[in-house]
Amino acid sequence: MKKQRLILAVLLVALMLLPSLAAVVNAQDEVTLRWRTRPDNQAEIDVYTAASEAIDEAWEGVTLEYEPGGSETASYQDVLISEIEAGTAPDVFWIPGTDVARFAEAGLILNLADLAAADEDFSVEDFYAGPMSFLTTSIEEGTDALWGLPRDVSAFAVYYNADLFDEAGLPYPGEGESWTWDDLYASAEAIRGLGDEIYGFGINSWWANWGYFVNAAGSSFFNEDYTACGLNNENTVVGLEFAQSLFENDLAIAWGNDAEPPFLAGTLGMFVNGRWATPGTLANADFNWNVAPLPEGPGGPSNWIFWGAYVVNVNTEHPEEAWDLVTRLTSAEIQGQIASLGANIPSRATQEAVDLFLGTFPDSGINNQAFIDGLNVGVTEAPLFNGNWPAIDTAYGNAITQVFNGEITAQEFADTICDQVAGEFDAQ
Amino acid sequence: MKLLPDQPNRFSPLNLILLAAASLMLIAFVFLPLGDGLSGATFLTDPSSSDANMTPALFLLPLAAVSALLMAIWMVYDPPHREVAAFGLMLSGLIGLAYFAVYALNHGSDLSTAGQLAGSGFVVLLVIALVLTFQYVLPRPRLAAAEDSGFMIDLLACIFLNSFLIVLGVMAAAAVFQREDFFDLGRPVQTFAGLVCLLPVLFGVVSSLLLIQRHPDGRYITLAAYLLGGALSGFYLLQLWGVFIGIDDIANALYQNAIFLVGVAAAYGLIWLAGRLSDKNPWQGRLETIAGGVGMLSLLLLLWRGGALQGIGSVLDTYGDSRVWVVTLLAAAFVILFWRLLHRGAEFHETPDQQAAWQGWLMLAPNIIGFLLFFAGPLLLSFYLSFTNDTVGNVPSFTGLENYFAAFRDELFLRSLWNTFVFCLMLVPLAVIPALALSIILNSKIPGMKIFRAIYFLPSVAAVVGTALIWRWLYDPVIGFFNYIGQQIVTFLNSTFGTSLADPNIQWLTDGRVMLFSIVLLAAWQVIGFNTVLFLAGLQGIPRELYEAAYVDGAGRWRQFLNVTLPLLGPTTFFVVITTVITGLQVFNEPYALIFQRPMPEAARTAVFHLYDMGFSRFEFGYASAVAWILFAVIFTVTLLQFRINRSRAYEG
Repeated sequence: MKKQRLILAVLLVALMLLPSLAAVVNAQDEVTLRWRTRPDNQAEIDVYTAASEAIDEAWEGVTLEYEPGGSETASYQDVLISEIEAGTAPDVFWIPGTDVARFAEAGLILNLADLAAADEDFSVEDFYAGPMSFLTTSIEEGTDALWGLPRDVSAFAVYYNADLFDEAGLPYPGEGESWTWDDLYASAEAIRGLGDEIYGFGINSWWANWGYFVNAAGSSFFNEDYTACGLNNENTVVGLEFAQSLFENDLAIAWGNDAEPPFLAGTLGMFVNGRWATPGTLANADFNWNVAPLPEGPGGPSNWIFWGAYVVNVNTEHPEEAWDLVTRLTSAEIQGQIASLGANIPSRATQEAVDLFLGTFPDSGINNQAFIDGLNVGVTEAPLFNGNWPAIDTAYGNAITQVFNGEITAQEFADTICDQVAGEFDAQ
Repeated sequence: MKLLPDQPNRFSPLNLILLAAASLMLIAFVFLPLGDGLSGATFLTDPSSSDANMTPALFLLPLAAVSALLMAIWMVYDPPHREVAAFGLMLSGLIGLAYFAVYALNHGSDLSTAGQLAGSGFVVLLVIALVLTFQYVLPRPRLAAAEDSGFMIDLLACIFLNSFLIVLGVMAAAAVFQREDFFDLGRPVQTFAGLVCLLPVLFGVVSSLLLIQRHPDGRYITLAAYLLGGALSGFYLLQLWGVFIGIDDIANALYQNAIFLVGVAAAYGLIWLAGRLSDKNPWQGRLETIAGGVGMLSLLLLLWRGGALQGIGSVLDTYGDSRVWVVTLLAAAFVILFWRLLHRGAEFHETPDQQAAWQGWLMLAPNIIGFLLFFAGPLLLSFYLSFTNDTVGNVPSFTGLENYFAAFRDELFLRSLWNTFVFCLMLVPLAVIPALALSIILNSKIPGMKIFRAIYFLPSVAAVVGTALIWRWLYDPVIGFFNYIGQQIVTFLNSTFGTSLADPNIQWLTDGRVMLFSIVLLAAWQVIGFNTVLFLAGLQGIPRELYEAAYVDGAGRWRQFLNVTLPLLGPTTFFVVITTVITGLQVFNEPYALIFQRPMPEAARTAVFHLYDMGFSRFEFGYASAVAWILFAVIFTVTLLQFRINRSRAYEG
C-alpha cells in the first residue's frame, strides 16, 4: 500500500512539474505570427503557403502560421469579423480596399506610420499611387497614417470569344480602327444576331460593373473629396443610358445574372471581368478567346484599380514583427511568386514588377498588356472615410437594378440617388 | 498528546493554524505583490508580463494552498481518515516547495516579503504534515476495512483536481475582472462572465466537502463537472493540436489514399462470410482473424501513407507549448477520475433508481453540453447586445429599446419581413402537399422502393451551397434548363396548334416578380424529402384494419384517403407544417447562395439575410441582434398560434 502511495505521489509531483519544465523551454521560444489572406483556389493557397514557409525559413526568431481564410459555408469576411469580435483574429490579415476606412475608423487595424517612418528600406513610392493615397489617409488631424500595404492590384478587361467574332466577321475588340462604346454596341448587336441563345455582351451585377459606364461617361460615385455622392449629373445619365440600351435591346445578358457560365459555355461574345478570372477561363474555356481593354466612353478611357491590403491587427502582441511581415509579404520577390499564378498584378509599380506580370502565361497569347493599360486609366476603388459604404452600396445597387430592369429611367436615378444616400455621409 | 481531537467537527489549535496558514498562502499569492510589484493573479492572467512563460508553474502555488485548505477541512470532518488527509497535506507542501524551486531559479533573490512568507509557509506546512504522518500514518498502516485504499486515493485525487478547478476559477475570474476592454463587450457581460468563472470555485468547494462526507450529491456534482470539464478540455486540446484547422488535410489524406479502404471492405466481406458459417466450423475463427489482420493492416497503411507519422510528429511538436501539457493532464485527470468515480456507487450507497437517473443524464449530456456552449451562451449574449449600440471594435453602451424601434422604422427590414412571410406562404403548400403525395406512393410495396426513398431524401442532406449553384445554372436565362424546356414547349405548341405564343424567357433570378418564387422552388425541393420521411412514418403507423373496415363500408380509395388517412395523419401533418413554417421563417442559405446579385435585391431579401447583412456587412451587431429577437418573437408567436389552433381542432374532433 505504501508503495502504491509513493508511486502516486511521485507521479502527481512529476506531472505537476512537467508544465514548469515546458515553461522553461518556452522562455526561449520564438515570436509566432499568424497571418491570413483570401485565396481564390487551392493553387493560390499552395503559393501563399510556400511563400510563408520561405519567409519563415529566412527569418530568425519568428515563426509564421499561414491561415487561408474562409470556407465553403463561411465567407472570408464573416470569419474575420467574428474573430476580431472574439479577439482571436490573426496578427496580419488581408482586407479589400473598400474596407480599409471602416476597419481604420473602428480601431481594428494598427496605424503603421511610425513603424514605416523608422524603416529605412520602405518607400511609399514603390507602390501604385492610387491605393497608397487611401492607405495613408489620416483619420485624426495632425497625425500621419499608414493602414497597410497593398497585396496586389487588378483591373477589368473585356474577355471576348474570338470564335464568335470570327463568325460574325468582326475585328477583335481593340484591334479595329477604334474601340469605343459605339464599337462595343455594334459588336454586341452583330454577335447577338448569330443565334437566339447567343448574347453579345455580359457584365456581373456589382458596383464596379455599372460604375465603369458612369466613370467612362465622365461622372463619378463621389465628389472630389469623397464626402458626398457624385452621381447627380448628366454624365451619369449618359453612361447608364448606354448600359441600359444593351439590356433593353436584349444584346446583354439580363442584369443580375452571372455572365461567366454563358461565356465559358461559348454563348457570350464579350464579358467584362477582372484579372482574377484569367486562370479559370484558361482552364475551362474550350474556344479561342482573349482579352482587350475596356472600350473608351464619351468621357475617355476608364477602368477600375482594384486592390486589397495587408493590415496589422490592432491587438497584435508583436507590432514590429507584424510590420516586418507586411513588408516581406509585399516584397518584389514574394509578389513575383504570387504573380506567377497569373491571377493578380503585383502592387509594386516598378517596371520589374510589370515585366514579371507581362510574362505570365507566355504560351497562351493572352493580352496581359490590356490589364496594365487598364491600371493606367483606372479609378482607384475607394475606401470611404466619410461615409457608410455598405449602406451606400445597397442604395446605389437597388436603384441601379431598377434602372436596368426598366422600372425607373437613368435620369430619375441621377435626380434622386444623391438625396437617398445623403444621410449615409458623415458630413451631412 | 495527540495534535488533533478524535471527534469530528471539532477544531483544535492545530486545525486553526493549518486553515489560517493555507488561507494566507492563497491570499498572499493572489493579491499581494509577489515580485516586480505584480501579484500572482497578474502573472497568470497578463500574457505580456515578464513572467508569462512561468504561468504553468505559478499555478502550483495556489493549487497547493487550496489543496492544503481542503486537506485541513478533511482532518476536521473525517477523523478515521486523517492519514489520507495528512498525506495530501504533505503533497501540498511538496508542490508548494517545487514551485518555489522553479520560481527561485527564474528570479534568484528577487522575491518580495509576501513571496518569501508564502515560501516559508510551505516549509511549515510540510513540517506539520510530517508530524501528522508520524502520528497518524505510521502507527496505522492499514486503512479502515469498510473503505478500500483505492477509494481513498480516488477521493484524494478528486480533491486535488477540485483544488485545481478552484484555482482555475479564481484566476479566470481575476483575469476577466482585470481585463480593461473585455473583448469590447461591455461591463455587464464582463461581470456575468466573471461570475460564470467563479462557478468552478463554488463547485470545487461544495463537491469537495460533500465528497469528504460521502454524500451522494457530492458524487453526482463531481461527475457532472468532470464530464463537462473533460469535454471542454478535450475540445481545447484538439484545438491546441491544430486538429480543427487541419480537418481539410485529414480529409485530403483520406481521399488521396482511399484505395486502402478496399482492404477494410475486404475485411468486412470476410467477417460477413465468417458469419455465414456454422459456429462449429473452424474456418469461422480463422476468417475472423484474417479479416481482423487485413482490416488493421489496411488501416495502418492508410494512416502511414496519409502522413499519420508526420501528424503525430506535429502533435508532439505542440508539446513545446506548456499550455498543451496542462490541458492534456487536465483532460486525462477529468476522464480518469470521472470513470473511477462512476464505479464508486456502492461507497455512496447508490440505489438502482439513482443509477438509472444518472445513466439517463449521461446520455443527455452531449446535447446539454452542446446546447449550453453553442446555443444558450450566444443566445444570452445576443439578447444583451440587442439593447446596446454594439459595433465591431467598440465597447457597447446600453440604448434600451432603440434598436427595436429602429427596426420597425427600417423600410428594408419591413420589406424583408414581408418577403419572409410571402416566402413561407408559398413554401408550406409546395413542401407539404407534394411530400404527402410522395409518401403515399413510397408507402407501397413495390420492389426497389427503398432506393427511391433514399433518392427523394438526398436533397435534404445535400449542402445548400452546392445545390444552389446547380439550381443557378438551371435557372440561367441563356443556358438554363428551365427556359430551354419552356422554349421547347412554346415551339411545340406553336408548330402543332398554329398558335403564336411568345417564348416566356423567364428571368428567374433577376426579375423581382419571380425571384422569391425561384427561391421557394429550391427550398421546397430541399424540404420535400424530409417531410416525405415524416409522412411515411405517420402512414406506417395507421392500422391496416381501419382501411379494411372502410373498404367493407364501401369507401373507395379517395374516400379512404379523406376519412382515414388524413385525419390520422393529423399530428404528423401538424408537425410537418410547423417545422416547414419555422424553416421558412429562418430562410437564409437559399437566397444567399442562389441570388448572384449584390447588394441583394430587395425582392429577395429575407429577414435573416437582413440581420446577417446588418451585422457582418455593416458591423451593426446591436441592431442585428434586435432583428434576430424580433424574428424569434415572430416565430414563437406563429408556432404558438399553430399549437392553439391545433388544440382547439383536436377538442372539436
